[in-house]
Amino acid sequence: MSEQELFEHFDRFLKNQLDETEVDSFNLKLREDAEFKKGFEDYKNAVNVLELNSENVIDQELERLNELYPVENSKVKSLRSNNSIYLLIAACLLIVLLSGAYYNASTNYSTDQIVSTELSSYGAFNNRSAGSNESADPGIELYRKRDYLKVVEHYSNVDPDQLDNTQTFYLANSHLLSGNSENAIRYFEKVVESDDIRFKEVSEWYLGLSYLKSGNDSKACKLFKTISTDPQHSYRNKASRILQKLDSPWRKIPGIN
Amino acid sequence: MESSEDYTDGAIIKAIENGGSQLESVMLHFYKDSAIRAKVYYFIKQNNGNIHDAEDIFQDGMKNLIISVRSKRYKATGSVEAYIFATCRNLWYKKFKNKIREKPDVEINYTVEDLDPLMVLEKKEKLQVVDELMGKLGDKCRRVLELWNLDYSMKEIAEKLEYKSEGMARKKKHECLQKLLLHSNHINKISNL
Repeated sequence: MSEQELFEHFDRFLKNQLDETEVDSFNLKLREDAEFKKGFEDYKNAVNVLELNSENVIDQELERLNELYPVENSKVKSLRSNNSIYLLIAACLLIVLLSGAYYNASTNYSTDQIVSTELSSYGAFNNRSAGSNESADPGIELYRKRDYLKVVEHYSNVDPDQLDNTQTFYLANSHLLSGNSENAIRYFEKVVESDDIRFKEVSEWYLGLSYLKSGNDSKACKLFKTISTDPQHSYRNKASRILQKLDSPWRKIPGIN
Repeated sequence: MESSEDYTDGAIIKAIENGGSQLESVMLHFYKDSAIRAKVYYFIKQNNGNIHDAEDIFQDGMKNLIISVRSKRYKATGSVEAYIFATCRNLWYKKFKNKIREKPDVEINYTVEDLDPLMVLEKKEKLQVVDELMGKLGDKCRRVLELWNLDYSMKEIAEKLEYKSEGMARKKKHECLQKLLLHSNHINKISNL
């Protein structure tokens, strides 16, 4: 074997390119042939030197590439602007989410919304119990025509103590529907106190809504709670539903009420 | 490796292991086409470094990758780019730990000698001695052996150094190895450092 072939043999051993038989043979020779062993050790040390030197070579090549291809400032700047874009997108998403949450809260959980939903869902009291015949009372006729302001005007000329429960009830409703919750409260309370079985339960319900409309949440909640816990009350389910809405955390968002 | 689609993580590691012109392509890719270089530069600049710091750190990061792969120490826990970025970030932290704003939360597979100042110094001395020894071989011999050690094929070496054939390149390599072995005293000195 020439020296060149010997070096190539050493190299293949170091790179694990010999098969099992060749490796066994190589190791045997290392144990038995001192000159072979010395030659291999010297070769191995020389290769180690080259390995160490390869760090210098890689460094030089990387330096050369760094000079040939300077990093483009535009690429670095675009990273900065990319980050800014991501932040902007995140901020926009947050604003959209918050706006959506606020919109949800204001359209479903504000007092005005709750009251108008209850009034629109269940309608102004209609005088089903009074039948469909024309009433002799012009005030009630005006109520049937949904002219609530005229109802108020009509009964304003009458002493309130002279009004019967029916008239008081329709007047209270008219005040509520025309936005005057304070007067609505006054007249609903009067009907409730009268204990008139025809109007008591319904008056309690609308009294609660009137309290709510006037901003007296605690009185409203107290009344609705009484209604919801009365197993016989006609409005107990509605009262429970409204209490859930009034308890909602959405109402705690500033500006909702 | 021709197009950017060829530079998958697996392909990059394989190319570095194979060495030669494949290794050359990978280095070129990271300097010319890859976005990781800009990311490292951006990080360094955001953390009180300048462009020269960034260049040095990126070069060291690349070198660490190549040497780790070629010495079988590389462990793929994430992408190659993530490895480079983490390496550069750690290097920057170690070098200028008072300057950067945050401590990295990832320690990558560094060898002890990369971090211990005494070992860094010893390594530096070793490399100097190696450089002197290689200088004694002459430019042509030095270049042949350097390319051969980086696994360039004899054909590639012949082309680069303008030898007439692969055979000529192989013969030259052997002669240069013999020349290197003649300086065995120097080699022993390096081994003992």
